Amino acid sequence: MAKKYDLIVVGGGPGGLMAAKTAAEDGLKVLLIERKRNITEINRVCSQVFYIRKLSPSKAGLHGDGYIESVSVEVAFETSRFHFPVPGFSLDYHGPLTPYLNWIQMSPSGHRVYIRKNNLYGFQLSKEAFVTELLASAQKAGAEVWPETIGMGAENTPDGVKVLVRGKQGEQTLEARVAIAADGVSSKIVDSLGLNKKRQVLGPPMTLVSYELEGVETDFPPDTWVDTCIPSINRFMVIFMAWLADGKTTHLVSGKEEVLHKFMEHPNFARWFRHAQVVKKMGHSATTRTPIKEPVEGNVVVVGDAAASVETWIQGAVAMAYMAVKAIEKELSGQRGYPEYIDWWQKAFYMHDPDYFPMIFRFFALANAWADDEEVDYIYSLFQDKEGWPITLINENLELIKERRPEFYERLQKGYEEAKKMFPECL
Amino acid sequence: MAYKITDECVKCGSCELECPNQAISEGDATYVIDPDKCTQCVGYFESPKCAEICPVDACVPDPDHEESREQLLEKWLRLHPGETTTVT
Repeated sequence: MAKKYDLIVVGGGPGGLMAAKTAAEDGLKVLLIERKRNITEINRVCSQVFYIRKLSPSKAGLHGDGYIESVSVEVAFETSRFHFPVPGFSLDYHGPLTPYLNWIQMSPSGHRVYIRKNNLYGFQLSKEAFVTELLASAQKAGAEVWPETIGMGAENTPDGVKVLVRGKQGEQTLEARVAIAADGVSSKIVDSLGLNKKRQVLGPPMTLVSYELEGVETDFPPDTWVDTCIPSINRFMVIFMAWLADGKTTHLVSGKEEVLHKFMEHPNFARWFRHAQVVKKMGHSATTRTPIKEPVEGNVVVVGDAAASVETWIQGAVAMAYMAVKAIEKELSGQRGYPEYIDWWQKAFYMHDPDYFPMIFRFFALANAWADDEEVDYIYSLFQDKEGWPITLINENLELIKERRPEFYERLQKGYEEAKKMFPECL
Repeated sequence: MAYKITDECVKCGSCELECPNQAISEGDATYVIDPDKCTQCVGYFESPKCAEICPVDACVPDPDHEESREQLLEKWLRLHPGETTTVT
């Protein structure tokens, strides 16, 4: 007779671990499976940031990839806790933590437009330290954890769910009353349930490589996050530069490795990297899709990146996992919990807003696909003393752009029209 | 031939999820492709999925496991008895 769990959590990232911890602490019999050997070793690109502010999703919002209050985080240094005020839970965290006060958008020749200036908006944490504590809590509360075990698919049954897993010993089918798919943006569980059929693929896979570097010499203090837009180096993404929570290791993230090398060798920025050494490399590559509108399928609840277009961030996955477990507990006790969960999900993240994809595509139209380095320099120089996203500043000053750079304006409009044809469902 | 994963691998694990034959698993220093299960995606896709997805281009043809297209197709059929290929 197959062992029956109350809950099988597929995936041991922040979302899955939070789900296992929450459910186990509430007395459920939980199994968490994770495909990696070492759950707390992180080799996949992640910015490892917590945002503390409510970020508006409106057109004038300061964070184009925003989120709403329901996943905001407060940091209590005295008690070493993260508090999520809206869902109403707290988590211990004793790892390294540094504040973010400045957020800069930089042009190829170094023009700086501030999204945030001397204004606390987030914290850099250590994901490894964070998941280590979550894992310890989950296990302490009695959750069973199987590393080196991958969830291949799930199948709903009249009173539960079957999860097909593959580990060192081969394949087996496990049974539970409910399963959580927390296996990330390329979720096999989501795919097995046919949930990708209704989603649109948003172009070729998104590829990221990150370097952790020592010995970088810039004039930026570690409380700064810098996005540099250099279309000649990378048409589809900016280069992100930040500092890890130790306050000294530089974190550089962009597309393929050659993009990072070109940035580090760029005549305007090479002096920063004269004595720099790469101490760790990470990667990530996955297909991006429109989000899952209703992340519940029978007795399977989808949590975190597995339901998202790209990501929910660590805090989004954690809050979503908490909400999922509370919804599951309601359903297991005969009440309805899933409609409220679905409603929460649809309101919690900007990716569901009809303005989201148009905004994203306008950003790429400007900064990368259709502008050249000199045009980005020109635009950023116009807004050098302002605070805000260049793309929202541009949208607010379209007449100015049209007047001063009519040819560029036409190209922006044309690019946007082309994008609308490629992605009619999003735009 | 089967594909293999070089030392460029950063262990991000993106490849493991793309392989339609479940030929990729985590090793010590890198992820590892089982040459007995790799058909270079012959049978499923036009070109190898792992090579396509890898962010650091660590998935490359393995000269120690040279196989013709026919041999790879035969391997696919052995691995998936009773099924038909999506791409031949």
